Amino acid sequence: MTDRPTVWEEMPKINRDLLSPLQTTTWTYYLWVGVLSCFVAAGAGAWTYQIQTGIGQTDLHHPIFWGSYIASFVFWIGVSHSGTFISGVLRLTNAEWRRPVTRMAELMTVVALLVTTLFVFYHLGRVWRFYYLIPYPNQRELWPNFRSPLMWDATAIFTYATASTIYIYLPLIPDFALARDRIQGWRKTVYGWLAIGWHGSQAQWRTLEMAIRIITPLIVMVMISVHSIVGFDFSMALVPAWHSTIFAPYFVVGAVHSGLGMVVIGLYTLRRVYRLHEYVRTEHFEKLGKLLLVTTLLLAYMYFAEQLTVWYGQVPDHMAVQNSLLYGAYAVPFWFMVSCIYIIPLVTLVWPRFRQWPVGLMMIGLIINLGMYIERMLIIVPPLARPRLSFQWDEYFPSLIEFAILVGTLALALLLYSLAVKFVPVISIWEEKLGKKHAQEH
Amino acid sequence: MSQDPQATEEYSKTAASPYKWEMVVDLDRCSGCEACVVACHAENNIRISGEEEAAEGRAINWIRIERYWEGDYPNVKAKFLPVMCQHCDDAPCEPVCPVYASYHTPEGLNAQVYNRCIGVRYCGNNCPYVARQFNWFDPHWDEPLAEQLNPDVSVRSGGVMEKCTFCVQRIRSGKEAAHKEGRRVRDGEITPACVQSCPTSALIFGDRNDPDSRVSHLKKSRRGFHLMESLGTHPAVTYLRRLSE
Amino acid sequence: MNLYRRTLLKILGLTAAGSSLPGCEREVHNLVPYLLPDDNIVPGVANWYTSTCQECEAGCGTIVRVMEGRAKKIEGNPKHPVNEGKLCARGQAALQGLYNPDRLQGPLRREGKRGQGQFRPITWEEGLAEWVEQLRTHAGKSAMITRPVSGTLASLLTTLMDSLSGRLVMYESTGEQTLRTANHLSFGTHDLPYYDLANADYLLSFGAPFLEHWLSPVSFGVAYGKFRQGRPLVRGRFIQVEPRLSLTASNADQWIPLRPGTEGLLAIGIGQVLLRDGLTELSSFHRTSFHQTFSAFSLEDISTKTEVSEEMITQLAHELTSANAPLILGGGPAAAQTNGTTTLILINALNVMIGAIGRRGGLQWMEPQISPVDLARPGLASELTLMDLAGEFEQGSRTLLHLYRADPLFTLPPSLKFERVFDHAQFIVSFSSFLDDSTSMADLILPDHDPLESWGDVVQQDTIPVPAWSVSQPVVRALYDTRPIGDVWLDAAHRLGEPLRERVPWNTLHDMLKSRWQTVLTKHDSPQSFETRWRETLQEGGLWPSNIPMRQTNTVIPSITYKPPEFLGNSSEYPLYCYPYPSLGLHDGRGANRPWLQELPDPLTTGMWGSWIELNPTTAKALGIHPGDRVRVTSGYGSIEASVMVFPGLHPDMIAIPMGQGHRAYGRYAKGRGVNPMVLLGPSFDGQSGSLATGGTRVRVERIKGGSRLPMLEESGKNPVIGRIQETGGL
Repeated sequence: MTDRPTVWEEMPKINRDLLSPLQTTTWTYYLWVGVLSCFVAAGAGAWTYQIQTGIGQTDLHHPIFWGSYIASFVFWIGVSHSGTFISGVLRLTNAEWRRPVTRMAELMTVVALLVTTLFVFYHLGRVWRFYYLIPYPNQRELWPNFRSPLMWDATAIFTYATASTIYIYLPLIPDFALARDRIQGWRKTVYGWLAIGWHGSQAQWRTLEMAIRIITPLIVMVMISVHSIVGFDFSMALVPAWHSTIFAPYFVVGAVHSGLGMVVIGLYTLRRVYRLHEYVRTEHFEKLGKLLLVTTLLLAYMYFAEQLTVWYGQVPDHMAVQNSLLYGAYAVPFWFMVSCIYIIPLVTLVWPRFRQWPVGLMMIGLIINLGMYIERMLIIVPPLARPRLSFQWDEYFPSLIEFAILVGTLALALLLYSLAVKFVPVISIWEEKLGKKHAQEH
Repeated sequence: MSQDPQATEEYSKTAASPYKWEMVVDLDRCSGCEACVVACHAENNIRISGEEEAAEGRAINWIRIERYWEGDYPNVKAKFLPVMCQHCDDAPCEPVCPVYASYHTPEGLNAQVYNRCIGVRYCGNNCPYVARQFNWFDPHWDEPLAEQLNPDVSVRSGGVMEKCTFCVQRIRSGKEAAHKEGRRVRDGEITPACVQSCPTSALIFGDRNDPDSRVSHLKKSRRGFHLMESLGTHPAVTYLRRLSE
Repeated sequence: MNLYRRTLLKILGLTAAGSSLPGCEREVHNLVPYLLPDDNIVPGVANWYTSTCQECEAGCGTIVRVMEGRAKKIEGNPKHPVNEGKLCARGQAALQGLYNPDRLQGPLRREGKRGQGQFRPITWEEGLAEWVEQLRTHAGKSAMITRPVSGTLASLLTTLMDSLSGRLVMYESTGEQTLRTANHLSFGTHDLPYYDLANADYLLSFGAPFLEHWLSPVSFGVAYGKFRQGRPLVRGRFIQVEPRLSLTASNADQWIPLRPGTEGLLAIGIGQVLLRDGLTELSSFHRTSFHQTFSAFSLEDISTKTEVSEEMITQLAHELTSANAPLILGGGPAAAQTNGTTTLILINALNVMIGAIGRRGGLQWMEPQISPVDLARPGLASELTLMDLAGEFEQGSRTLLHLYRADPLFTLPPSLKFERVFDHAQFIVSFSSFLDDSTSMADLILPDHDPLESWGDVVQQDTIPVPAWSVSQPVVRALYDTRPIGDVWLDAAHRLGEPLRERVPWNTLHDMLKSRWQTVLTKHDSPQSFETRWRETLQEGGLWPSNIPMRQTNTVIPSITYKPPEFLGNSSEYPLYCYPYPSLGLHDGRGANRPWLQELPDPLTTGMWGSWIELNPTTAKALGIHPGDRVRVTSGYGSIEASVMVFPGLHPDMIAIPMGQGHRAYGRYAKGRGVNPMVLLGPSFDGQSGSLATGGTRVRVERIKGGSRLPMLEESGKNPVIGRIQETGGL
């Protein structure tokens, strides 16, 4: 042990390694950003076209009034749960291994939330009247309807966005200060503002830790409430197969499932690109693998409970939906989804050796997210497509415009994340250092 | 829905408004001739969707005749069910609208405020009768078809939800006429376009608070039922069963 | 229905008090000059004017809502005896004829070759001059094909064509010529009886589509409502026998499918049971002939041929006699065969046997009345008459063709080669408002006003208990540079000079109309002046004398020999019967340019904006055809391609195709849309009536590549799921 460098000797290397993405940029990065920008521009063009001509550019038609935009909305909210869950819950439980993971997960939360809000706008029939949703004072004293789950949703998401911005900002302050001291040019000024005078005094550290300790449990509660309310959007409705009590917890777990998958993807990619192998180790993948196994089992349990209840009850309205999933019009996506989010993760992640294989885990993350996206579509479309009056049964598949907007938005999310990586250290430097120190002390 | 006369009386005493508009659909009379459909289009400025939009399932009908097949050849039966907005007393579409575009009038109508609607379409999902229809695009009439448009009814722009109003413009003018003469609206004085046109008189409209109205009488019929009664939406439309041997 | 009457009184009262009836007192050309302030026009306040629907021949009375000079809505006239305030989908869509974007806006002269569709706008003076020139050139050689018109216009046209030694042909593809012939042969009168459905308690219908387009659908609709639920203790029972479950059949308590064309045989079976079981008392006149007629086949034989079980035949006979007021109707597919007239006569014979003639709830004829216009509707032409006319054109004895709201090139099967009329005619004048398939072949187009812009009257004495002499008045100013056909003919007559001028001295049809009504209105011994009476008549929408006594009818049914139906095409090459039926909205195709009617879902298949082929599910399965597949239907005369709708209510050996689509012209909504099933039909006629046997051609169906997305109201139609009814407690 003596030949290993002490914690204090490692510090400059940590600083150097973790600040390097902020300081050096390769041509591949520019290419990547350029390509993403093209996709974003295409998506923006598609949205403009949709606004100009009408929401009919989607494939939506009665009785399927909601489609890919709402599914994406739910999906991206799910992704946003990654950060909160990883950093919040792991912080609360003092899981030491969380340290290199939290920041990149929190960044995902913020980016995903930004993207999520966009989907609300894509979806509106008259988006230019979006401000009717805001409780602004007006002459006719018209207010939004707070009996509508959609207003609960708007409130919850606004709260969540605010809270998670604060939540990512607090642990960033010392890192901003570090960047302020290490980086020259105009960025120094920006970091200076953002560091709000951090100079690392004992009192500041105490205040910061206190603040983090207070906000962490709060954000976890907000997180659970947000996705519960997204679940309420559906379960409050009279639509067959939506009207179910399990939706709220099921949505939360589902969100964590896809969020964790996304974290694994992010972790793998960033480690690869910025050669962070020393910080993001196999151990982290293994831990995340275990967590994924837990969410897989939990989610499968809930899904089974829900479907079993429907099946055993044999209420015709609900059975129409379930039949369309099990062997009807939606059977192919349904069974694909089941494989993606339950079967494949389950049979792979139970093997300890597999969990230690980062590439494999990354692929599981991809599969889970693909599956979860389809799952969101299957939660929304088949129940709407099987209304009680069977005369109105119908099918839906997203139109090209919808695809363009979906892909453009995905590109936007990646772009925002890529830009953020250039501005914010992807691993919390001070927490990493603290981790090293703790490790040595024990 | 309570059929108890005492309850009805109670209702009319307590309700702020003296009218409660309801409709009865006699399935034993309905022949499926769809005169009501065209009458509704003419009265309510319903857009012409055209072949393409109709193929996308976007043709707008405030009243439609649903046809259900029963049995196989040669013992096959086709049964018709006219479906329009049921103007539920406990309408599932109302609470879910985030901007109060869907609301309940004191006279029991389920109103849609087109100007307020921003097109989130939650109401459409939550209507078990699929009565709500959405304008996916701006409407268009080849000139001079627009000359026919009824000036009493607003034309809905794209991105707005719409549905049967029980011809609220006719109710209003009927009430104004009665008000001028200082009396209540007489039974049968106000007829929505569909009711007016129905050759077999399968559709009957009137004030449920008037115990002598035809609607009040027919509602008590043993043939009466509501669509999806178990959902507890308390529709204002009562169907009378079609008789068969 | 007092309430509706009250409503109308109120409306008319308002109109009369507030506006002293602008529509009635003024001439059409100075009706409502909107730029000038007019006391009668209050913005935002609607005026209602009476009129008469001219979308079909039923002659329903209408009231038209007019606001700021524009027609907004058409409703039934509550006081009118035909429709009692109700109106069908087609009648209400007449507004889209008035405001149709493809209406001809003024006279046109052909440019380029005939049929190329190139026209140049001309002035009325030019047009009239040229036409009169042609009338002079082709003196004695003109002919006119028109959709049935009645009243003053009919009288005018008859007079003029008479004087010009021309031939006037009134043709209606759904004119029920077979029924008229059969009734004439059965009862010795050309008038159709009033079928008193409202008071019947048992209805056996051999295919009569009385809720769709048969004779007077709105009037039958009103009666049907009463038949079912209009009487406190009686609910009429209704059985429909026909190979395809029509809209009418789907309302029946029981639909009995049978082999196409064997309706007459089934009637014989029922009659045989009536006689065998002594359920009928026959007069001596009928005894021998009926016994002969109805014992020509054994019940077993009948059952095999019709595919209706012996028990069912017996049951029908017994049900008929146990009812208090049974009624039997025949029409639709039963009349659309080569033995149509025979079948309908057999059905009339059954009506005689159940005592329905002249009975309440049966068939009734009113005493003939003197109508305002001494002439009711002239006889309708059958398809064979049209063939005769075509022959005259071929021989050159007719050279000048006039067309008025008739589109024979569309409604007649091409196999009849009716285009030879157009090939041989030296000059063709059309008065139609639209460039339909036939009018686009014209040399000169002198477009008529829309009925809502014109004066007119309709005489209806068929199928109603009291005669209805209805008036229609212009409810809006003419939109375009069109002229009423009556005025145009009068103008031409005056230009042609004596003796025509003397026979029709009036300057406009309105003058003629009024002078003819004057005779009637003053006859009705009333002290009031004609103008007052005329105004009242316009306010009411017409004149309908009440308390008309019923006429005693003598049944003159001859001894009938049943003839099996004949089909064109042998059964091995063409295994399926083909039945084109008039569409609910588009009828024979005249509604195809009205977007409301195009978008009106067919009630059974729920198809819109197109054509389809209906196949029985078993047949489709056997042919390996799925719903939505594209198929080619071929007969010995032509073939069409369309997508398939699997239709559970269809005889397995039959396909059905809606009529009305497949126009080559007729405006943006109709042109090039769907297929015209008439293409398939061969020259198969019912000899007695001369009408085309639309069900008399055999076809084969084969699947071809491709599928098309036919708009349907029933979304689940895209799935092979048959609708399920739940929680509706049984409809």
